Amino acid sequence: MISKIRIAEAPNYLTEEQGIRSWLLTTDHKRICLLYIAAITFFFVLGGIAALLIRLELLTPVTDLVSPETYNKLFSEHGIIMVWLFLIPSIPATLGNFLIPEMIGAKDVAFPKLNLASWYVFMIGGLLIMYGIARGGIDTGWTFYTPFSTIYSTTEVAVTGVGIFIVGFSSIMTGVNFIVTIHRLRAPGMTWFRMPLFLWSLYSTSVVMVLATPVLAIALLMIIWERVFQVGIFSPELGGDPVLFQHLFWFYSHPAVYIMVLPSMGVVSEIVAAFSRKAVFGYVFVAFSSVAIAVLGFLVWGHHMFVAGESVYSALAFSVLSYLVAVPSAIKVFNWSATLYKGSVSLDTPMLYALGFIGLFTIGGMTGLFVAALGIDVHVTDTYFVIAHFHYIMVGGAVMGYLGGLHYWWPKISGRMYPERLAKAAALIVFLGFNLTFFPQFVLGWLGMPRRYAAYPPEWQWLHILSTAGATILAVGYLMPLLYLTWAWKRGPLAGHNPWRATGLEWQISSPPPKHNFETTPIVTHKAYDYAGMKEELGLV
Amino acid sequence: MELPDLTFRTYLLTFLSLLCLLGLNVGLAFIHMGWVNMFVAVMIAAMQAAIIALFLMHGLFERAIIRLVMGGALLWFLILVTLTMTDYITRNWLPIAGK
Amino acid sequence: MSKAEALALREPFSTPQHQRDTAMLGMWVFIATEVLFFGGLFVAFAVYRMYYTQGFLEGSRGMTLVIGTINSAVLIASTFTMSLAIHAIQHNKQLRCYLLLLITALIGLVFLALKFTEYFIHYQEHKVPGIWFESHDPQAGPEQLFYIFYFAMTGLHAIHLSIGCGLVTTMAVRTALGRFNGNYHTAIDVTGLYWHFVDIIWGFLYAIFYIPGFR
Repeated sequence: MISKIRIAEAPNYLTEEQGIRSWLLTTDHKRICLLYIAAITFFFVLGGIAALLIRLELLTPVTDLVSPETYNKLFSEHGIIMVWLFLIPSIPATLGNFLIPEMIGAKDVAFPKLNLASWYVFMIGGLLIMYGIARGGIDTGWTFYTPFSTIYSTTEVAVTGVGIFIVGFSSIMTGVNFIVTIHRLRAPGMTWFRMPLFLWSLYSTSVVMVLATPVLAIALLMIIWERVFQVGIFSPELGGDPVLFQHLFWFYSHPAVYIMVLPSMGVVSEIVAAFSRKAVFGYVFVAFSSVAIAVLGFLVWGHHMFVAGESVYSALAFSVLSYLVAVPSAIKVFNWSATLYKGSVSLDTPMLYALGFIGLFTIGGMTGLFVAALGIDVHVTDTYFVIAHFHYIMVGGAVMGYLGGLHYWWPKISGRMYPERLAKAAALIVFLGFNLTFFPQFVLGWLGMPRRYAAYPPEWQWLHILSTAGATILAVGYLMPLLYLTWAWKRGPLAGHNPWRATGLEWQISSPPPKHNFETTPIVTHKAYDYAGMKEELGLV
Repeated sequence: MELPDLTFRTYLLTFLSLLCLLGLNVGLAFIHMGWVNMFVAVMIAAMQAAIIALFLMHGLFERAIIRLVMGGALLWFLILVTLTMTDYITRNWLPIAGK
Repeated sequence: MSKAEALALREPFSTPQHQRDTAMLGMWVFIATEVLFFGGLFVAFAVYRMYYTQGFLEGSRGMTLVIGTINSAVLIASTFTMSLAIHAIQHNKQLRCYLLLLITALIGLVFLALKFTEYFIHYQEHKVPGIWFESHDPQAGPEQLFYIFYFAMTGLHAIHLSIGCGLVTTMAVRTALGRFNGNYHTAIDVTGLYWHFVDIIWGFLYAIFYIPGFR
């Protein structure tokens, strides 16, 4: 254990070096985390504005706010920005970057320069996508389906494609870094089964990043070649098969869903344990369910193509395999619930987000079973049912987890507490706004409202009005943390090294942590979440 | 783990076997075997790959984790091939009305 | 710890051995990424090869078989010299390592020169899809597909090999500057892994593009 004696004014990673240069050339994983937070917050706001414009357009049944062409571009950019510039890097590149070395007792990640490079690569890709928007944007949807994207679309497919291609490399760099760090830099005594579950989920995420992203890269490259050289790789006139693109695309993009949601699951495990004062029930099962989700996630991509012309037999196999993913997901949900049982639960802000995650993820997961069923999927393909389903996973799941994690570790990152009552209010607003936005979309989808349309029959208007109202509330809920977390950065009350009295190596160093995290490499003697065994050290008696 | 100190002889043998496999590949290509030709060619390339990976890249002597990475890459490539092919192989099994 | 080692030791590591193992693992994981990167193209090729056997055979007949085969041998030779370079530095023979690395990079350049000769021949035969493609064959569509994959895959491979040449040359220079010795040569090992991997890829490219053309 680290000595608890600390000098109050010891320099930390924020104060040790000053000036813009020290930030732009930093190789400190904690500073890179902040660089990423700044970047993805910007992109999140941008994607959010697109979402709000979409919702405003849908307030009325006719196309009055924007033209149908602009509407196509809005939902495409919303998807592209949110998926590749926010959700994929959200937790891994920020909280993961900050916490992996601290949780395993290391001074930094295995390849600090590569870590910084990944941020620059991310920014270059992001700026290219922005450049594409400035030149008029893209209207293919975030899925780039051929032959529309290769032959018919006259928008900025090539520029945006290159941007995403580059962003992909940043996520590969992050993945390589994390895998190697977790393998090679664990402190003495930090065995695999003593690791916090957050690390198991990030490890699984990194595996997906490393093995799936290159296939997306190559698929995008082929689209770009086809557009630039006017050759037919996926175009039927030359004998190409448009469905082949979908295979390659979904080989990445389905596992990508797990890149988004697995880290959130890790965050939830941490929070649920900390605020129940109990070890996570069935640690080994939760750990391996992360790995199982990562592996099984690669076997199900064909369920996105049930109506795309894929073979019926293949569709059957993919449908059955899709159900398998429900097993490890359910294991997690049950084990979190069991952790709460007889725990001393306190409902602080992070816990509110975590509980919100569990509920919303369950709804998202259950409706996932609907769309995995071959017969039902034919009915709901490309309807708002699918939209609602995956927003329950990505917004209700991934973003709730991100916000929960941000609140949970903000005292560690900034050294200061945020206003608790305001934060609780924001958490409730997010939860309410989210459900009001997306639950009506389940109904809309079931009634047959197709996705990606700017106009619809008037009898569905009241559902759309509900959804738009919810989106407005949700926007308020997202704006609040942005404001009070920024405020708390300078003015919040000092947090101390362990405000939650949680286990984990990251809570044993000062907040904000010193530049090299640990003065001497810690020796780990406890298993993760050993609240029973560490009562006195944590002051819980 | 320090690199294994293989002898010059080992490297020379690897080199010669790689060249022999190349010769064998070209030689077998002249025999008419239908689709088997492509299969044989890819298998020979796979043997060359195995020799390079196991000896020249020292995969045979590395820690378990490195072998796991090698195996993982191969397995994931096979997942990609197999599941994509389930579509293409079975696509025309079911007659489609009007086609 | 020697001076070279102390210079090379970076932040999160405490011993050179630890740093070396970590760097090697990093390269292997990156290679796994590369396998899937090329893997996507191999799968796409396999699908079309299955659908258009005849057209793709037609494409293979248009390959410059002699140059392709020589190039295979050339690359095998370069893997051999690369291994010998690592073998040399393991035994602290810096001069020999330097020369072998230079030879490896040169062989790589020979490969690239031959490859571009082939591209030029295809250009003269009007077999470059998207730029200049002519075929009077009824299988023109599939044949063009074949050439798209040929240029895409060998082109990507050539890009990888060019990067490899750059890396190997850098390593040669650093060896000449005395940065490596028998105890510390991680960067050369890592470069070697990459170089060997690029060779492996060529083995498969040769098998799918050239071999069917011999019939």
